Amino acid sequence: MTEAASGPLLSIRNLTKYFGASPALDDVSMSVGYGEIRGLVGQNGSGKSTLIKCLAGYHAQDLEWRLELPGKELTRALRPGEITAFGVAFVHQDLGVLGDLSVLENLLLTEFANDHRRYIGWGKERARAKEIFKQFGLDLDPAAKLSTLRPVEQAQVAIVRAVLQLRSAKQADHPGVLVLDEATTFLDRAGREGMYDLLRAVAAEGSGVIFVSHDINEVLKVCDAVTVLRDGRVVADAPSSELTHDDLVSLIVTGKRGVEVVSRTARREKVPVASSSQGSLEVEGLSGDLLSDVAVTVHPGEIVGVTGIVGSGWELVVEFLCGARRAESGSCRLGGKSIDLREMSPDKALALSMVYVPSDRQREAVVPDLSLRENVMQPVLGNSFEKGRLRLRRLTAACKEVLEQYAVVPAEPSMPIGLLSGGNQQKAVLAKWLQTDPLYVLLNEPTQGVDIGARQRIYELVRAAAARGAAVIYASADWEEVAAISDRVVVISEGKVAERIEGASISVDAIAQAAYLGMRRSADLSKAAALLEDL
Amino acid sequence: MSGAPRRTHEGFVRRYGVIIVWVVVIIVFSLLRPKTFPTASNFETLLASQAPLGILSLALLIPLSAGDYDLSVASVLTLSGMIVAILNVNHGMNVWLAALVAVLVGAAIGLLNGIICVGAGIDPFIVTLGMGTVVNGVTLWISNSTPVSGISQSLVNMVVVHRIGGLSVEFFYLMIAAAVIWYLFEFTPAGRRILVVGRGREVARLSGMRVKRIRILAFVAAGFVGALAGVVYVGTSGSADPTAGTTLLLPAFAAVFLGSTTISPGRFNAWGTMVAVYFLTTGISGLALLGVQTFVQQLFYGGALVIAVLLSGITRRSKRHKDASQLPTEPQQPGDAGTSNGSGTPGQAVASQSPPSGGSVLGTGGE
Repeated sequence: MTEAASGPLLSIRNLTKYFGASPALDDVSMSVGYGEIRGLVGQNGSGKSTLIKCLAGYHAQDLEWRLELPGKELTRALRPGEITAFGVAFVHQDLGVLGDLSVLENLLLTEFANDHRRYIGWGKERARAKEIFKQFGLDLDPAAKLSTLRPVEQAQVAIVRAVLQLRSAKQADHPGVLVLDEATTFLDRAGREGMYDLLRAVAAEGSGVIFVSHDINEVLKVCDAVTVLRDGRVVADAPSSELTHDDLVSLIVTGKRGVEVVSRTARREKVPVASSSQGSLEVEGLSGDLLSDVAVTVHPGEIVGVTGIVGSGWELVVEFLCGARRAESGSCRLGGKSIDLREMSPDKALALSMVYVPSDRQREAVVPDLSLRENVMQPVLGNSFEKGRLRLRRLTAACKEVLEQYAVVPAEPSMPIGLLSGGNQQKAVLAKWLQTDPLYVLLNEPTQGVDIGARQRIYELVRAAAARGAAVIYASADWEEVAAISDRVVVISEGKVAERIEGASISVDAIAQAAYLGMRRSADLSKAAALLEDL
Repeated sequence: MSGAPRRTHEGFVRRYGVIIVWVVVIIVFSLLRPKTFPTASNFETLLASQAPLGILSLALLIPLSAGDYDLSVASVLTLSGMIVAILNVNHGMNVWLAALVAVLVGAAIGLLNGIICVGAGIDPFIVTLGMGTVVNGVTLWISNSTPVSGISQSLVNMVVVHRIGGLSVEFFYLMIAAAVIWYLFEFTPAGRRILVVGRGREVARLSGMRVKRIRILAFVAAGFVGALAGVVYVGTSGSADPTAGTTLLLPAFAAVFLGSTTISPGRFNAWGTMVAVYFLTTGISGLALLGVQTFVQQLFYGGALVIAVLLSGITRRSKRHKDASQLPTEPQQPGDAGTSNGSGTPGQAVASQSPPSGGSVLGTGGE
């Protein structure tokens, strides 16, 4: 691996960024040197994304910093995309590649965007692509359709493209900086080695790499140094060689090194609110995509949190359960019936009195142009259908009542729902489903993009639904709220149940430990497997 | 009616703009041709003669509301008319029985459209374009490419000859059809489901709606109603022309899109479509009375379609801005890491949504 040499290539000094009155980043400094791979880790909400967005130019307000690049120093906020001209390129989680196009077309995508050539010499471009693949030791066919490549190879294409971007952007001889913003999250662990090799090759050219990841093992493996953020502050900045896995977990979770973080073994049996298992929801052997063999039980009146780190597959539990996506296997028992989850669909779920609040509100939960009445009253239209027609006046009155009950502002049934704030839209979505008094409530990140006030209200609504006897699964990446609202928490790590935490043992730290430790366990296992192979 | 703008001056103009322009057009033609245009007989012809186009537009409106184009409806109209003619004239079948066959064939074509588009997940724009051409081919084939005349007078009587209040009964058929469609979309849960399916397929699916079935049924309904329009069409003249429908497709689209800018602005609606049909017809007939050449018809229909789509886009956008500015502002807490893949502010979200009438249909075509 290359040594960090001759001072930093890019450095951020004293970055402070406020959201309203509270600082999301507080005096954060971080740098990446020539040929250095710099890890950036931290829990959700620690400020990682905010930092990356400041660099990318998406946060212009309430921002103070000094940004130093070779021959350049800035104290103002950046405009979106401005930094690419200074030789910084991003690869995001979604990679930004198009599956229908060829590898070569994907590579040239960003060039085409600002290209004034009249003619594209495809032969020449192909040769150039082959050349660069060879240089980085990649075995990729420029003519292949991107979607036929393995996910890791697709990520490699995205990285090579970013490198090309750096080369075309950088002035003089300064190498650029490549930012990988959780770009490995959805890659299977097995193929990631090829990705690490590529990153090392990029760094060997002298470029700096900022590597944002949740995966402690890979950070330790690929990074030369690591910056740890917690609550918007830098709690550690150290070479990887001086850090152990336990150190990092401890730093991420508690902000201090050397706090003994142990797996929790004490499990208390909790007496469910309703003593009989009548009306319980029991999921068994749920597998598909990242998930494998997950079991979850929810009793009436109970809120069970399901969480984990990004990429562990926690959100799949509710998506499979309601049939939004098809599981590969698994069954669920409810109301004396056993249902094959491979055959589940949203309409079947609804027939079982199971409702689902999706995480992607704009795409999956509301039709922004339609009125609140048309969005919210949809599941109960039948109640206002009488003598052959919908009683619109009654429907409007009922809608107004529901909106007021669920504190949707403004409680104006004719208002297009898209004009409401995120929080009020979400309250309206909850109203839509909870007014049906469902037996089973599945929530997927119900407070995403919702302001603090509305959050509190949403928690109250969820608790009220549970108090009325609903069995609630609360899936969220926000550990604080999961810890606050759940009677029990199921922590998913690498697609499996890592831990079940109950009652008084529930805390953010306990969840964080389970989420990160689950990863170490499987890392240990694979290490053990490797050892066995060597023997 | 739902989705109505506030009762302001501006709202009124927005909602009844097409009607106002229509009235202006009538006045202008009346002044230009005072002897021929503003006469009872001209208005009677105007109102009654547009039943086939009007019913065809209503047929088109159903899949459009569900988010799917159906470019084959006009061909179904032609085929349906030809089936009635051939069965009745060449095979001596009872004309009503022939009409029933024709309507069932129309529904079957709709079903086929639905199965290919929805079942196999192919873009309806292409599928129905191809299907329409196939249907045209079949029509030419069964008719030997020649018009068939001599259809039973009982059908003709029931379409144009009988009059109520001076108007041919076909006008009332059209009004009944419009009322049925209006009732379906306005007063039944089924109509509301179609609307949601058209606006947000994923929302509809996750809300437990059987999206595929709804879309297929919308195609079937389009075929059925399109074939009905064909029966009325042959009833107006007693003969079937194997190329009749081709000139009706564009006016029907123009009427439905223009209709979506009025009465219930922002959504395809039956009465708006009726207003648009008559507005377009008035324009054409007035121009004919002025003695302009027939190519002007094409300019008129085509121009109306483009302007209609443009207008519906503009009104919707301005309406949104206006409504948004009236909202109480609420503090937004920008999400951090955990919510970084979230859905952004409502303003952005609305802006990024495609326009509901023309645009959304285009946008969802590929699913």
